[in-house]
Amino acid sequence: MSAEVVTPIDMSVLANAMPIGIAIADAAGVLLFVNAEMARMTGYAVDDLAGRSVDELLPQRHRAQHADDRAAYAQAPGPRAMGAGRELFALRRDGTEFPVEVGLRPLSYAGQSAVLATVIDCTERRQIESGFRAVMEAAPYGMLLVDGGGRIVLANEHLRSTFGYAEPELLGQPIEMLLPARHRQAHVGVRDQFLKAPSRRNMGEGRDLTGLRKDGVEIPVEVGLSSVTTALGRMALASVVDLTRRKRAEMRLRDANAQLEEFAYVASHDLRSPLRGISHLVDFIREDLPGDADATLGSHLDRMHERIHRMEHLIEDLLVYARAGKRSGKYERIEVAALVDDLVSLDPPPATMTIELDLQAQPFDGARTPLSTVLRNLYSNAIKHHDTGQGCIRLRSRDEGEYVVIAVQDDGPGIPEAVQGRAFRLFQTLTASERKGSGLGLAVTKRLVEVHGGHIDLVSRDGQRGTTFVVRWPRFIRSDLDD
Amino acid sequence: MTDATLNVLVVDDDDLTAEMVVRALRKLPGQFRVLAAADGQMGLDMLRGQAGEPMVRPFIVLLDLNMPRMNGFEFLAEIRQDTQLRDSVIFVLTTSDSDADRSRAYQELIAGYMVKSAVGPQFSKLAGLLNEFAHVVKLPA
Repeated sequence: MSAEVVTPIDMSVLANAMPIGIAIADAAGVLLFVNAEMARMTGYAVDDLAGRSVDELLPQRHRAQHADDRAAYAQAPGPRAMGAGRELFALRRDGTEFPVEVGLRPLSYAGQSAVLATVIDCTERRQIESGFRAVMEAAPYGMLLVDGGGRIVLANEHLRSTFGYAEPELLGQPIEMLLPARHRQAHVGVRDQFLKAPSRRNMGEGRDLTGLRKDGVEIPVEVGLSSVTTALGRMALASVVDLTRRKRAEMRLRDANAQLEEFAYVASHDLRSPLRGISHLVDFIREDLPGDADATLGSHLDRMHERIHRMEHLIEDLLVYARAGKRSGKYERIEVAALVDDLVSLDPPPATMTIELDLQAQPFDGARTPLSTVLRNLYSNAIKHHDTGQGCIRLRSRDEGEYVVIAVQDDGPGIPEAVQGRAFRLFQTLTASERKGSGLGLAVTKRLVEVHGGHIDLVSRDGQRGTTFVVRWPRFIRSDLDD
Repeated sequence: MTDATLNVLVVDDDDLTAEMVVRALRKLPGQFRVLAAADGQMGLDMLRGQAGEPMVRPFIVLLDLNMPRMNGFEFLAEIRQDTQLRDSVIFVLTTSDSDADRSRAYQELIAGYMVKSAVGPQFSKLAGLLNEFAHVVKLPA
């Protein structure tokens, strides 16, 4: 083993080899020594920098404060970081500034008490930090950074405006200030647990979370959680989405559906039974009618009877319409060609009408029964409302993006453009010949199509014969439509 | 075969039901007397004779389910507790074709469950059934 002799090296060689800035200043702030890195980062030559006042390395605005700080440090010297909690900047010879971190330590130099400062250029780190801040600030939803003690470190613009606070009102405050008082205590435990074993997840999965605005109003929120490790320890990063609008829309929709269902129930039970009573009474009168009664009496009874039946149909159709608002949750393989085959064979067209098929859509998975009902309605309308009874019904299908497009085209009288706007509304009958129907077929059809995520359009031009109904039915199962 | 008159108590808030039954039975040869009660409580009172003469046996009850004051199920619960009346032969005659109503009614030992829309035009099937019943079945005396 050969022992290497370590010769004492000149300390300035060592200092100049350091990758951080080193400066030694006396009590008055005169630079007694600077290393090469200190000179490089400030843009001076080493010899030029030594002997200047440390103030020359500070932006003008910090100089007065620095003199006070220096005096205070002289009173209680000890190793510490300079400007804790403040951002420090150094001034280059060319007048530009850059962010620094400075460590201080008292030392005796050339027989006098002095201060050793180590200086790190943190331009890059600050850039990353400010980039992170900018990303958070610009996020299109609320973001919060919360430290291990549950205090708010960052809250972006979106979050501040959602909750109605200015930034200084939030920073350093416990996160629980954004929660209704009744949830605060439990939350402390939950967040401690999260920071001990963080995972990326949605907060309160399956529960409705509530936030508290500055004005005391509670808001429904959705919260996503992850953790980030920073220089200040592990923190929780929360994204907060205000659900007020979505919840409101959901509630309105639920109300509308509930009301329709309730109405349908009332219609079926409470309207039907008096109607049945009227029907029985008509029967009683007919039974009791003397044989020599005026013939017009009998015919009036017939007309009453007919109208009672129509009313029963209307009530029945209304129920069908209400039920059409319920999505079918059953998914099956659908081949449009097979659906159409079934349709035509169950309900064959009169001999005077022909059917033309051009079915090119690929099989897909979806709700088969409602689609079949839709096509049956359109097909039977096309036959029923044909004015001459002699014509052709064309059924076409093809794939188009996320939809299967199915067109049912007739060469009947067409639907006047003026009434097309109300063709899909409840109880609209568009032609005189339709008086016997309730006029509900198209309304039900449209509801069935839309509740399953599709669209239906009517194409008919004044002056031309024929009407085409175009149904766009989703080809793929979607999470928002199919839960 | 019996020539005795069969008493039929129709318990229904719709007074047309009793009249329908009367009219339907009128077309048949049997001897029937039809009485009407507007709800379960009135039906019980009539059976117990608290509203005049007690019901003469043999009798059967045609019971609606949805009624004000005392509904059909409450009527059934009450009558099965009553030592004098617990042997009553009761048919349910209702607009409700819900499975829940039907199975609940049979729990109370009804003789049969009939949905109004299924008892024929002008209750003709119901009348036929009552007529056969009166001739074939020996009711509790």
